Amino acid sequence: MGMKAKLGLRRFDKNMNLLESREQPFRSWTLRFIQILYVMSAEISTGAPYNVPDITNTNRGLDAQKNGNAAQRWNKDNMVIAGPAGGSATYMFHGNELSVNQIKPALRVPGYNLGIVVGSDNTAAAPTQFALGTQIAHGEAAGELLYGGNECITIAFVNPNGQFTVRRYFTNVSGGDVTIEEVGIYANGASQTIPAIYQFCIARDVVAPAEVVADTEILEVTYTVQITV
Amino acid sequence: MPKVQVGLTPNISIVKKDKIHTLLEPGELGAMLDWKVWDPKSGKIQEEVSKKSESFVRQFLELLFAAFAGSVELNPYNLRDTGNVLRDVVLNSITFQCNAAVADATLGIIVGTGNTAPTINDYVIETLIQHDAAPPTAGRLQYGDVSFGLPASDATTSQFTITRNFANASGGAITVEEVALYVEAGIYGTTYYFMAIRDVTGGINVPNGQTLTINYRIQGVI
Repeated sequence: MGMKAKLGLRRFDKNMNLLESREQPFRSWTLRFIQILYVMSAEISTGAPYNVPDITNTNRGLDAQKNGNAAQRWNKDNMVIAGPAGGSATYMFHGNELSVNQIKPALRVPGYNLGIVVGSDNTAAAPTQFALGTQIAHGEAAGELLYGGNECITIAFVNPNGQFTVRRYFTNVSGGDVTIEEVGIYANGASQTIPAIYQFCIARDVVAPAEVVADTEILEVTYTVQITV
Repeated sequence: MPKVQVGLTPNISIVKKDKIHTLLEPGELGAMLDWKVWDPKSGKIQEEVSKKSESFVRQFLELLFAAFAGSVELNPYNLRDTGNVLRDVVLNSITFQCNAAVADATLGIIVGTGNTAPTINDYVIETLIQHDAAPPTAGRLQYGDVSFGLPASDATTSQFTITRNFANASGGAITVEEVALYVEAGIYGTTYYFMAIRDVTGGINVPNGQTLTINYRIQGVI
């Protein structure tokens, strides 16, 4: 069979004592995942980029053409979901930084726009999803959560199975409850033509029932991605 | 000897929204494997099958892991290539590329005659059917180029299509028992090849003078 995933939610108190653990089947790889994989598989060129709606629902022309000089290293950060915590940022590459556009702030991607993201909308998922319904912002104000770093960990194979885990922690210091009703994954797409890096919603699931994270609590969200032959 | 040419234009186009066919389960990301045996002179179809691809092997998951993680040269990911050698790879422009040219039997959709059931650790097709360069040689097929159908979706399923033609001018029938998808990855300046999918078919009979068209339709189902 193909690839499946499980969505795990574990809630801890501020001392990391486990309060709740639950799991639900993951349902929703979106058209954006298929589109970025298409861009990579078909080696879409910079001269004829392929448009994909980003998380602001704006079409961005993506490509996977390689640039050959040693400084550029064939860099092209399509499909990356690993990222730093919250408002911290990391450089991501569209592939032609040195000859067209030097490293610039616009290529820094904030952690809250990469990897696992959470939100408060419970509208059913659809293939054409371009973003969460209502993303919960990174922060410490009412209704916000602190986004930890997004990790890809623990890849392992035992015939006929293989799996790895994507994990992120969310900490509530908002002073009140925060309710999670949707979870998704945002990934990079590279546009050398523009040139820039954008984010795309490659997965989204409704959390049912909703998960309430009280003030000072920590929520661990995991996607366990699996294949079975 | 029948005149069979590689590089035949595959019969693909933008997938109509009401035409997506899937056997995948909700929440699954996988592929449909379609094949058609047909006469390029008359267009007559001898056999047409659409089934679920059963066997994404470990290299697919490993390359997805390396891409998700944004693996870099200081910390590359190590996996087995089609030559049975462990290779360091990073995420870069070539990851997952499979747009093979005519006659290239190292990349894209590949066919063979092995019928051993796949395992997750398979890294190469069991018995490759080689490209048939002139003059025609028994047991070989002419590999066309790999082409792609654009992504599309309906209410539940998203997909794009990878297509390749294999023309038989070998002088005899050939039975294709296995199909695989080889993709690229590597580190700047060096490209390696990895098997992402391997399926056994149960035997596809391709008579002399006929063409085999194979589609992998990569799908995600909600």
